[in-house]
Amino acid sequence: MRLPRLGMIAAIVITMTALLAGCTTSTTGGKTLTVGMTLEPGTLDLSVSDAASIPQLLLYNVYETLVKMDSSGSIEPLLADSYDVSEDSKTYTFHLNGKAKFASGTPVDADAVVASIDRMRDGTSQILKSHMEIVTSVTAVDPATVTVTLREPSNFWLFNMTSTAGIIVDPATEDMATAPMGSGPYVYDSWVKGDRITLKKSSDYWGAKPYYDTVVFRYISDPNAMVSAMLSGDLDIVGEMTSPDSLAQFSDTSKYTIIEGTTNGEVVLGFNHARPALQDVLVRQAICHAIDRQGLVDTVWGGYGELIGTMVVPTDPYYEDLSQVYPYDPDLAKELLAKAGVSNLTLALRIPITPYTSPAATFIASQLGDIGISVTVEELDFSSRWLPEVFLDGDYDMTIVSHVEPRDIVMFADPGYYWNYDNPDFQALIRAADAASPDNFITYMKLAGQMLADDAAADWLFVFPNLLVARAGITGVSQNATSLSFDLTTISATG
Amino acid sequence: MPLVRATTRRLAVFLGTVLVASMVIFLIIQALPGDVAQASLGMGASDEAVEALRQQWGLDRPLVVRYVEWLLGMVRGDFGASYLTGQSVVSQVGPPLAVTGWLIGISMPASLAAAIPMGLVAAMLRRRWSGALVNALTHIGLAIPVFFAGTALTIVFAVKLGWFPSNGYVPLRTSISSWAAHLTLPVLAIVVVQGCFLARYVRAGFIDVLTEDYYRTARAVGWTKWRGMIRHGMRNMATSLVTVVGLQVASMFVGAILVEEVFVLPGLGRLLVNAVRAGDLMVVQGVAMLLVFIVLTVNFLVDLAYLVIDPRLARGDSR
Repeated sequence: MRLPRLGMIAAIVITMTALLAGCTTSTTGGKTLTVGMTLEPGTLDLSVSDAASIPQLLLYNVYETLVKMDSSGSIEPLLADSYDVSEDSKTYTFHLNGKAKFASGTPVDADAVVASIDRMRDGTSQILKSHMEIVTSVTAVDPATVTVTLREPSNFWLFNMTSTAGIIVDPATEDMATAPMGSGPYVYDSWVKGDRITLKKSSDYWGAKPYYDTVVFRYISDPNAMVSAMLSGDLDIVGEMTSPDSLAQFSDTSKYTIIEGTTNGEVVLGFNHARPALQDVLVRQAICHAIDRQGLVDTVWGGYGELIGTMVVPTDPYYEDLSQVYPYDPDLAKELLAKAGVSNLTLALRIPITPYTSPAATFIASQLGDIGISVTVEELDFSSRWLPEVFLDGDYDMTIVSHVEPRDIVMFADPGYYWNYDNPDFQALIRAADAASPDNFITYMKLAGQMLADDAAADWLFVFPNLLVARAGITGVSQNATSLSFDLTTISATG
Repeated sequence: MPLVRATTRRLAVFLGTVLVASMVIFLIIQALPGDVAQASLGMGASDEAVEALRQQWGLDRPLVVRYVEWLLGMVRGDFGASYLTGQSVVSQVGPPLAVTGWLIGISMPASLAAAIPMGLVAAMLRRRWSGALVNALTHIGLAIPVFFAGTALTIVFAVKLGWFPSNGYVPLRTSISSWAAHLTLPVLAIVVVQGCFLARYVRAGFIDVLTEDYYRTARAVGWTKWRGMIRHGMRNMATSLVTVVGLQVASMFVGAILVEEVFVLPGLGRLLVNAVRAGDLMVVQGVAMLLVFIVLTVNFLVDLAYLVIDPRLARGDSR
């Protein structure tokens, strides 16, 4: 009675083991790259959602644009070999390269480009709307030429066309949310919600073939889980390192490469300019002088992250170092407050809960306390409270949030934006820059950056660093995150 | 037919509870701060756009209408669609339910399989050093938070030894071996804690049996200690154990979130937390309802299990 039962169990165990062993070989062949990212997209439809996680995955990898932003921040040809701008700077003529095909085999011709630009113009995402409302018409001149006419000249428009507004979608696409189709070197393969999205090499890519056959984006929001996944060999690249303190675990250069660059993410201590106390430039300047920004970066983000002095990041073509306009000087800050005739000032610092805002708020509250401003810190859930109360209703004195969009200095020209910053001179300058020739554009933009700094329109705490860890031997990972894309086209490996 | 009547009565109570729970969940979700239309449109949306979206989603209609619609939909198996992605809640809940289902479906029997012999040894040999040692070990295991157990297992078996992947999930139909490898550490983490927890109850249950008349009788007619305990004690101990196991299974469907976070498993708990963060209330509502349904079903099954283990209860019910 006993023996057969034992025998039965043994048989089951042996069968199971054999089954498991048999399946080990069923994993996909070829070279696979696994990248760890923090935020998983909710949908893959770029035309309805502004989530940065979508272009991170799809831009330049699955979708291509007429012109592309390279890692140094300059505009390069991609689907268009070249483009001409009319005398009045309102009409752009794109000359398609003629070689490009969608992964489905359809050529990327003028009709497809027109259909795609029109699709983006109809998109409901806020960013697309603001980027595309300036377009008045899109025309296919011949199969290899497309003209786009703008309502007024705009330097920003061409720049925006390197990003989500400019993606060229396969006309055969049925559902951008679940089956994105483009002309890029990779095609969308599968999605295990909550865990990973897999891309496969396009079988017949028109350009230079990518190195990896399969690329897996793993979504791991917990920093500790990210670190252990890298240490255990499950990941090849940590695409976003959200715990700078953990970098020490990857100091062995025979195994890992640490990549450190910059992003477009300005961490802004925003002032509500509708509040009387903060309408006084002396008070705003006093606050800027009272905060030791280097000390703040050291405390909040392990010392990684460059200091800036305005809403311009080092990879912008019009960047200049303004980080020392308001050096840390509490005594001067107190003098400025006295000059403004302000005493017993209390300010509400209402922040969304994130890994960087909470420690930054504590740091700032303490330093402003030193110059006699008492700060009450309130931490709010991002979507249920911060967005409706602070961002939309403007119920705050100061807040901290990172602004990740490229070239978002223009937001200071919108008096309805949550800072309530209404400076007609600045608005005129941005308009002039947008319509100017390329050289004058740079000049005007520099002036605009200086104007914001002089006016202490906000306090720019630091630029988010682009921190990545790659397995040793992996090359071509872009050092600076100048575009929204995690560009796979340049990544390969040695050995 | 006392068993049938007892079952029917419990079924009625079960359905009534589900109905009340659905009302409570619906009302709580409605009372939450934040506006899903606003959250969906994000930074930069105009008031008109938000209002238009609210109308499109039918959020401007009366509460009662929306509740009845939701309830009737669920009866038909339609839990509504996510506001943010437009996908049906059922299709979003399916894969995570499988993940959490496997996790608990494997780790609970495994925990029991570990707990019963441990508890038996700890009870029978409680005056010897070996029993005391097992008892002490269960105390230690019980004191370990499950996320700590998970992290420790990850460091040893994934990071240092590299035997298992540190986190993530591969569906069963993609690769059985990979699926099993990804679930091993999470299951172990639960077994360490749950096994010790249940072993405490098993031990206490067996110790109670030691003082029972029927056990003394069994010993008196010449049965050995161990045989008497296993043949007569097991069923008696089972009544109290089933209660605890039922409670644990139910609470683990919710509590599995800790293990899912540590091992980045795309289970129900993480779906719920992410939906709450995104303000996707239709998904929150659906998952909460599903969890309540699971908890109540487990309780219902536990009630039925009593009737099977102890037929006296069914007779008592019919009176």
